[in-house]
Amino acid sequence: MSGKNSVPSDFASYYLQQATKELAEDLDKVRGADDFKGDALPLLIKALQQGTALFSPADQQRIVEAGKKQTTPNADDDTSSSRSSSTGSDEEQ
Amino acid sequence: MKRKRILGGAEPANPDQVDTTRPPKRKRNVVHEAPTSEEVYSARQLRQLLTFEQDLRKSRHGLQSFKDLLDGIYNEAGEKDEAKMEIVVQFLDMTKPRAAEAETEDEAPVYLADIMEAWSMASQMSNENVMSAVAVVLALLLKLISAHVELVPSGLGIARTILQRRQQELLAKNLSADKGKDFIISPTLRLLREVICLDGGALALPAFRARTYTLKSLARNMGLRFLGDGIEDPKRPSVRTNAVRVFLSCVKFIHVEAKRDLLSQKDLVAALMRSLRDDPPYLIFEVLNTLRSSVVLDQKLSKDVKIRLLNSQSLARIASLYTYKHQQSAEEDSQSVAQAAHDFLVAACTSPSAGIIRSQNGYYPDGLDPDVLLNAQSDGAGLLGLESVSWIDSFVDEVPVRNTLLSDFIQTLRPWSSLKQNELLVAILSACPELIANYFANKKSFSFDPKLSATWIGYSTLLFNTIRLDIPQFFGHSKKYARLPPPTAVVLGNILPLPLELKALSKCLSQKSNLVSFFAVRILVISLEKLSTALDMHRKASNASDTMWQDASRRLIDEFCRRVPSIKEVITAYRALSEDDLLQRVAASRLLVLYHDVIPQAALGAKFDFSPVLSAAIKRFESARGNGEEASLRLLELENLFTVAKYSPSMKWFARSDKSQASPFITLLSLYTDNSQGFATPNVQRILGFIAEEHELVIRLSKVTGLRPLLLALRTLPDVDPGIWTFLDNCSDRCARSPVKYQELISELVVENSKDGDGAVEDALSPLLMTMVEQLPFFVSSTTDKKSLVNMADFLSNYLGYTKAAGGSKKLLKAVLDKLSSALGDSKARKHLSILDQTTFPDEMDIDQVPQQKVMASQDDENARLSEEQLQEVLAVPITISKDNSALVKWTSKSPEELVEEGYTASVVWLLASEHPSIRKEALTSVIKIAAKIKESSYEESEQVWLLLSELIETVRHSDGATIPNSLLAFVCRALDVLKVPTHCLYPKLNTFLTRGPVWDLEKIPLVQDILQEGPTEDDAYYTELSWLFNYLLDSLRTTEDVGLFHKRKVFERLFALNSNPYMGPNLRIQTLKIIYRVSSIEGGSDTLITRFGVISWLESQKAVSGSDAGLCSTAKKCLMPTDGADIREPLAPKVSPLADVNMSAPASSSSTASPPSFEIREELIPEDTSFITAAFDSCVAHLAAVDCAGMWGTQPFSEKDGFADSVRDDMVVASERFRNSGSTGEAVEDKVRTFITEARVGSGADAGDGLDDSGLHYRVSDDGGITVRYLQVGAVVVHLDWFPHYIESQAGFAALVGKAKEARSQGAPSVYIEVMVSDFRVGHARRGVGTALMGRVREFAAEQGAKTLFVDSWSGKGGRLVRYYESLGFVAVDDFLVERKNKDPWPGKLLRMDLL
Repeated sequence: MSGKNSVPSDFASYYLQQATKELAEDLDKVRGADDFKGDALPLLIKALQQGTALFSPADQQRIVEAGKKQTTPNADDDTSSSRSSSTGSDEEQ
Repeated sequence: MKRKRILGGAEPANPDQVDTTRPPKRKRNVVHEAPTSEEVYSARQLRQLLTFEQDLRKSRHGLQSFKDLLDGIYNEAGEKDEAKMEIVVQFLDMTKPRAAEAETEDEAPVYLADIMEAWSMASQMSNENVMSAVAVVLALLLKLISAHVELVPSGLGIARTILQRRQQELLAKNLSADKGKDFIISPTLRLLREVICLDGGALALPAFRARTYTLKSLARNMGLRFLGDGIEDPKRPSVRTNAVRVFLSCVKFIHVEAKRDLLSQKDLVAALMRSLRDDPPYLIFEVLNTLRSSVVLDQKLSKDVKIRLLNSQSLARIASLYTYKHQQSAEEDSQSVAQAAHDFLVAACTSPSAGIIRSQNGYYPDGLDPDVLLNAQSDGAGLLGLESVSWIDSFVDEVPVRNTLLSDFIQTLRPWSSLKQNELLVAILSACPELIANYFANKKSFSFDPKLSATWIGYSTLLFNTIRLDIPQFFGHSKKYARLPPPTAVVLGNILPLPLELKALSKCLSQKSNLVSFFAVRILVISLEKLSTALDMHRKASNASDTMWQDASRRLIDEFCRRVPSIKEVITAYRALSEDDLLQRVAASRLLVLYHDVIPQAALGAKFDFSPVLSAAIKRFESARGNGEEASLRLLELENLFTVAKYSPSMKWFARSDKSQASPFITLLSLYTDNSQGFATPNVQRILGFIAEEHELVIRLSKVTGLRPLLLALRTLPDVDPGIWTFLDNCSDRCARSPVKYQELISELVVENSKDGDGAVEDALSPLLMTMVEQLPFFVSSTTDKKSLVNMADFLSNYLGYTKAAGGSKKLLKAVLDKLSSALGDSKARKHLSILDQTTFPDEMDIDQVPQQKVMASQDDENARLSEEQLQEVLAVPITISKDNSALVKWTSKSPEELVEEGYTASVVWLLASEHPSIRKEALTSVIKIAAKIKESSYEESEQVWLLLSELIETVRHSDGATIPNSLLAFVCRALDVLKVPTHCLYPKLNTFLTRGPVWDLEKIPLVQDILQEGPTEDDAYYTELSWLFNYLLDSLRTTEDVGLFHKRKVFERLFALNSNPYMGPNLRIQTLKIIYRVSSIEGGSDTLITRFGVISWLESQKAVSGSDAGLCSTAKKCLMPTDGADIREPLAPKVSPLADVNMSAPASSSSTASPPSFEIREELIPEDTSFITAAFDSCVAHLAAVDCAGMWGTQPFSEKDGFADSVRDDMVVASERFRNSGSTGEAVEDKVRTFITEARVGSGADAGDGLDDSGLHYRVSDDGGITVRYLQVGAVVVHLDWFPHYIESQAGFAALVGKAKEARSQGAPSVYIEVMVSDFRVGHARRGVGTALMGRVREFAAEQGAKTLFVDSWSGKGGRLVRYYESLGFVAVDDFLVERKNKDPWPGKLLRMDLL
């Protein structure tokens, strides 16, 4: 439940990462441009991240959760641990 | 020991003392003479030193000594400090003017008279050293005093002395010293500041009043800034710094009026802002913070004053701080100057109270009145359409705005190179939407020509953010949509700002650089989304009378299409993407979807075949490897492509390309069924349905023969055999190629099976199912794997089951089953083939709920939004099996199969519970005969059915005439359902039960124990068993006795406990709620549940636990308990109707037997009515709050509102009596108002009491022919003749309607307005029908008065629940309106009318 709020930020960081990967070549070129100074870097990051607006909250959640599934090798473990924590901590002692 | 210290040495000194007495070194022309001084040991000595003498050198000596003393206090700490402080305190005390002196001389007391004398003399002699020294000493002294509260009275005395006329002149002279004389001006400014700030600004106002002197040369002094390199040393503040601080302390401490005068001095404001850029950071922070807190955020200060300070020059100067060039020292790094300036500008430029923003009309340029047709022949203008509106095509190059100040200001920003300026601009545009089109129209130098540079990126960021801004409500028109749409160019300027023109965008798309095309695609995506919103708004705004808005939306689309690249270019850009450019692929495919969705005319012109694109994407998806996120992105892309392909007429959905294994349709179907990655979105479901309908695989809009039974069947299977996919692929392809052939086959089948005269059934079967029937033999012959055949049989059974559950014809399905069975031959698979009993056919949304927890979350909202009436519909299950006596005859002609499977036996069994003994007897005989008939037949399950029925017969025989509990009958009927399907999961349990003994215990409910206590027979069948049990329990509940039996057998406890199982699905939960609902509809049922089982708190907890059916729980609760717990003891409340609450118009449950109480309408009002009506209002407030409708009347009880009871008495009770009696009194009454009270007769004779009872309900006792009768007061309605409430009359939109009503009145057809209709919610069920009763009287009243129209207004919040209630009474909505309220959101209402014949 607590993870719910972090979906937008999780997604934003994934988006940025993916966008940087896809556009690596162009980003290098931009960094070499004459006018790349001052605020240019934060502006560039902001520009990239704006794209998250193209994804509905439901899609964002879908993608973030798919990513989480990937990182936890066994999805069943994940759910069972959350269950046990809700049934009480007595068992764990 | 320091003696005779010379000032100006190298020692670190207090910042306030250092620079002053000695001029800067570079002023060489000033003859400098070092002052002398001596250490002070006592107050007396100090006084001596300061005694005025003609010799100014001595004065200077004294002053210097005093200054050293004061400096000492600042610089030293500890005992010495205290000693020195003590000297100062004593000195002040000693020199304090005596009170007597002041009185006698009738002059204000002069403090420190000697110093003042010296100052005056120095001034006359132009002794600058002393002039400076006095200011230095006084400033230091006041500064010291302000830090010591006990000294403040002396300080005020000194300050007042300084503000006396004589000293004012001295101040002025000091302040207006020559430019170079910093050493005089600065300390004087410091002194002035201390005076203003002393004691929380106590003397700020007098100081300001004397501004001719005190603020003399302030503007000039503010200009005397530090001229060296870099920025000034904070320890040596420049004249400017000191002067600015004086100004700021004035702004801070003087009141509004004075502040207005101060800020109106243009030269001061200009001087303040002029060199802001060169000021040190700490001064800038002071300026910005003070201006923000004391000017921008000062609510009392009027906007026109604020604007004098925040003029365009000031804004530009502050904006120049974005590029503040001086370095900030480390300790100041908490905030940068740029950030402070940014925060200030955002607050000043976006807050409406800051004065800069002027009210504006969003997309309507300044000067337009969109409610007025400019054309002289305004009658004809409507017909001419938009052409007649002269301005509709203007405003391309120039958009007039009201906010010219901001318009000029934002042109100066550099949003492409500065993040903050970018943010500021977007914030301003968001706060002031009229500027958007204006900004880009003026910013001609911008071009969006692609270039891989930081500027281009910054620029596209700005465009993206701008397009993302919401369209203002009603396009910026106030309160509602205007008569005329906003100019096309302006709307377009907001959706696709000017620099985004065709050439530039096309160039971007065809760029080699991925970044450029990606950004362009993203901008186009959000732009199209915004266009879609705008078009929606146009639709909402359009009215029937003319086509202005429709025309406008057409123009908008045309113009838009002219400016965006063609879809071909988008497709080319999409195809150019490499396989791993996932985000870009998602964005580009989304753009393709939007082209088709929003501007189909542009998209479809391309006639592009998406088949290859789609199959390539499918192939990529299937072969791709990557992490979870990547897979999700690919899936999103695929979903988009499927959506696009849906629009593509040339799409070959059923063709199998060589590359991929299945046709696109089957691929989509299998992705949907698999759903491991959340592909089963409603959107995909829609696409599937669309394709299937388009190609006539299924029948459009049909529940039975639509695609849903197939989807459900596939989703039910744990794993779909590859063979089934191939089969489906083949079938769908065949069916799509010649749907007519299969439709004919269906017709034949229908004809074959309609011998009994049932007639042909429209859309009896789906062509796809028919294709499967035809194709199955080929599948069987080509399949050797038995398991595949069994899987196929399972799938078909499910499919048939869902088709049946959707309402398919049983007979036809049986025929289909026969055909399928014969195709399967004698194989093992045949045994698996049946029409599975799918008891539930989930509704559209439910389909995704069962397998996927995640989707449920998003549907919670969906559920919560359902109205309560709908929720009640969900729960109310009528008792379906009617006690139709004809069943006794009907069964005789039926075959054993039909007896069991078509429910004939069940109907006979139910007759065993008939209230007529003869029928019961007859029914028993019939059951015996049926049992015999079935036993003798060749029916497969004859043994088991016979056993079941025989045990029933035995039980009845042993009951000695007692009525058989409905639970046993329900059990038998439900058991028949189990017995006819040997694969049913309950089959073993049921048989065990039947073999236990020949007679059943009437006091027990069969199988409850077996299902709830023992585990399921088959592993996964627990919930299926539960579902069966719930249905059977629901059937069992018919009478009070049944509730009693449930109570006795502890069924309720078990049910309630079951619901705490977190894995129980929503459908099962709803089933338990249905049972509770049913109980509440049985007489005494609610009482039992509430008092014995605490159902209310249980529902509360359920509501808290389960998100999805919280709404259901609360509705159920309300059905059980309409008002409060006490109510259930109220003898008059008929507890049979569960629906009496919430909505008076809701249909009564079919089981309801009690008739609504009959109301009497009372015409004659009595004084007690005031308190009753007030109480009724209060009860409504409580009820509205409880059903989450507090928006209507708030939460404060009306009785607590001042004057409410009085106005009820005067305007409703007394006024009504006056009007009622006006006929007889001949009095002319202005307020033609009548109030009617409904009351219910509840008792007579001895038990009739008067007035209030314990529960606070209102009763009236009347003498009815010698018998005392008691009436419960239930509701009231207040109606007016020829009247509209002011909030209706004042609405411009209703002007015509009100005018017409007035006209009708003059012609003798008055109108009646229902001001209010209330009922006392506390009376519970006794309220039922009160609304109808009151409305009846209102209609009568209208008829009596010759009125032709009834009006009422209703709160339209919460989805318009109340509005629907009035509509159910026969009212028709006229229009929405909003009532503006102070400090609150507007109150949304709807006016309704009813035309009487």
